Amino acid sequence: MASGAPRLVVGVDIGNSTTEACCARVDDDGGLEYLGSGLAPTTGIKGTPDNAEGVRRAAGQALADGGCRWPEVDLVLTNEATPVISGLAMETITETVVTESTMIGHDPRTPGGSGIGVGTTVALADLADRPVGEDVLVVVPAAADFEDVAEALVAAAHRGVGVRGAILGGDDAVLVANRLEETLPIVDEVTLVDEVPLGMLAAVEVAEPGRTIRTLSNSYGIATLFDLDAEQTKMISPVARSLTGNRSAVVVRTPGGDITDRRVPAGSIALRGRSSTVSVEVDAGADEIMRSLARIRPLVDAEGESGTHVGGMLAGVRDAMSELTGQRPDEVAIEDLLAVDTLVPQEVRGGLAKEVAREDAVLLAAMVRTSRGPMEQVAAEVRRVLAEEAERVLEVEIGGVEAEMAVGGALTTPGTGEPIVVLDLGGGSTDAAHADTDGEVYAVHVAGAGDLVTTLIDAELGLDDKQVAEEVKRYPLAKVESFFHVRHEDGTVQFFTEPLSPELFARVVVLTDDGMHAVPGRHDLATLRHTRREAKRRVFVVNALRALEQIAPGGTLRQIEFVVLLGGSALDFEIPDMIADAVAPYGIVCGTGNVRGSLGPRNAVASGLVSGHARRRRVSGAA
Amino acid sequence: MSVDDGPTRPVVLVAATGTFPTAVLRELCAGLEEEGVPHELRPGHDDEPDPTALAHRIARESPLEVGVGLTERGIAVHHAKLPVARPVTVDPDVTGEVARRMGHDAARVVTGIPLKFVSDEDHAAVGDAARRA
Repeated sequence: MASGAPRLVVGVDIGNSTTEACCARVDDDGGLEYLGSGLAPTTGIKGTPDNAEGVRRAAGQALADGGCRWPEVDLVLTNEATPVISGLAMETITETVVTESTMIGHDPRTPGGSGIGVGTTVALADLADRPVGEDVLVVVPAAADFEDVAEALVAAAHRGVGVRGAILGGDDAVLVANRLEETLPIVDEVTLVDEVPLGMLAAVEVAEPGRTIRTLSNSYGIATLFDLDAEQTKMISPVARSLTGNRSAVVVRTPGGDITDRRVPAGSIALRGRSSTVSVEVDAGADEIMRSLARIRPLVDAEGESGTHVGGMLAGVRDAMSELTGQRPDEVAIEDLLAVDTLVPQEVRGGLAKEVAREDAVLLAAMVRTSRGPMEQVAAEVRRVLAEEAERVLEVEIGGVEAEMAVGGALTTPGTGEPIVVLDLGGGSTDAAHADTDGEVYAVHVAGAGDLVTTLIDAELGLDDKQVAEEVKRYPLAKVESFFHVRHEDGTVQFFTEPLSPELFARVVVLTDDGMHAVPGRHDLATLRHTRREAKRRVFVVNALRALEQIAPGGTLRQIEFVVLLGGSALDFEIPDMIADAVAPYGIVCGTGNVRGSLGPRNAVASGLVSGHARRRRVSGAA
Repeated sequence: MSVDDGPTRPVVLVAATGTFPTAVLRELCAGLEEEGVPHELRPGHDDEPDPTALAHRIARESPLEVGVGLTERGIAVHHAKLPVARPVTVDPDVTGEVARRMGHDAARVVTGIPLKFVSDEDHAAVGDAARRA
């Protein structure tokens, strides 16, 4: 077989989001010299002919990097790019509904006065007509001037009306409070102040600066104020709960008025195992879904109820795959699910000040993978596109199972050895491959990865903006503390000689590659950081352990010695540390891969393809 | 609120010159008061028609390093350490509404709260929920 001169070989890994390439010179006797690497976004869905364009770009980069030209190429190796389709869906399973108006639970930045006041709600315009001795809470439209309001309140008090507090439409609470003779609780910035019911018994509470309300956030506190019996107290308890943590609040007692924590029917999922099928209600929560999944594992297929988000998502994933492979939708099987419990902020229906309640929701990720991708068509298209570059037909080979190639590439990381597990942290799925000392490779794929983290962050922070959520995920945070300095999330301070934009002043920002971007909303840095880290932990740490348990010999994590993290999310600034911490108790050495000692977690499969080829040449050369 | 206790009391300084409706100055001071930050009034001179330059001059005299300039040409909030040409915020409309917002923003530069003129912030209700987590 030996044919003299060394051959120029290009290895290409078509991934879900990135196509990576490397080029190397391979001797007759299997000697291997890597020359260059390249990377480009994958074009089209992985495993389809559309990928050829991305291959051209990534491979072109690798050749340029290695100082080579297309006509010199002898062989192009690509991975067996098996299409993976993943989907995400969220079911909100509780809903807070205020029927008629019973509470105002928002947090204006500057409420006025302090204390608690109980009285009948009265419009400012009617205050002069109220009888002496009546306890009142004055409801003030946004247009009213603060001096007029203060005068009217003082005059009424002088007349003997028991003015106990005020509810304002405008941002005037401090101004009014400063002009009164006694300290009264005043809540302001109530957007729908005109809808506050009048003539009803109500309570206003404002806490001292730095404190939170104590009475209206306590069911028995409300019961005491309004003289409620046990049954009525039960009804009011969701109000107390939803006011917890606020500095100010209003509760209006409207007869028949009610606030309910409703459970929204979210349907069920049917999980089919090899011998049995389990049906689990989505509103039972993520833990129950994951427990059911573990009971019937390995999952053969899953189906959601039609008309629910989860049902729609699972059907969508199935349809997308069937369209890709030409299989009938009922032949496509959902391979894995990951359910995560989450709390999402949602506007309270019937609230008066855009109140937000955190509702329980379940987020579900699902994936299908097929080995029936049109791989020959992909190879043909790659051949056609590359022929344009090389001006002759190049030899294009589909070389080997991705998991094996990944292990081969990962093993070029200094300090690794077999038995080794490769964890590929991708966008849609987390993939694990295990190679034992005989070189035998097993692989598993679990649903949920980077995209799920972004969705969690987006939902939990109520951002409703994937772009912002992606930035919160990818970059560290800082607080702009003055026009000239920021405090990073680890507490270190950085000064700037050029003044920072006033738009960033006092904001929490993400430190992106192209500068600081303010995070919308009123979230403080600690909340954002916690949300980000929890999202990563619940997806990547959970999935790392789930994948390792499935792949470890005998299901025992202690049997694994080395774990090498690969893929885009292995470049994250904290995910690798979180996973390493989680597996450390099992005596596992875990870290981000450094392919060929210099490429970090990139290029493992591409390098593995080339080194596999070199090994085969050595074997055949020796034979 | 605007009693002169001597030069070292922590105050935001407000300088006004020219003719404008009295309600404008009142709203400006109301914005500062609502945020709980003390302020004092200082006279502006007739040869200071530019609100930005006036705000900067007065900011340099303020113990809190924050000044508001109000003239016929507009209203500006400035910080002593910023370059003259880069005010915190400036608006050519001399109206009660703008004045109120300027008062809030001058106070917020002192207290370190995101500014009102940045639109997406103030009515973002999502923060209320997160605090309850």
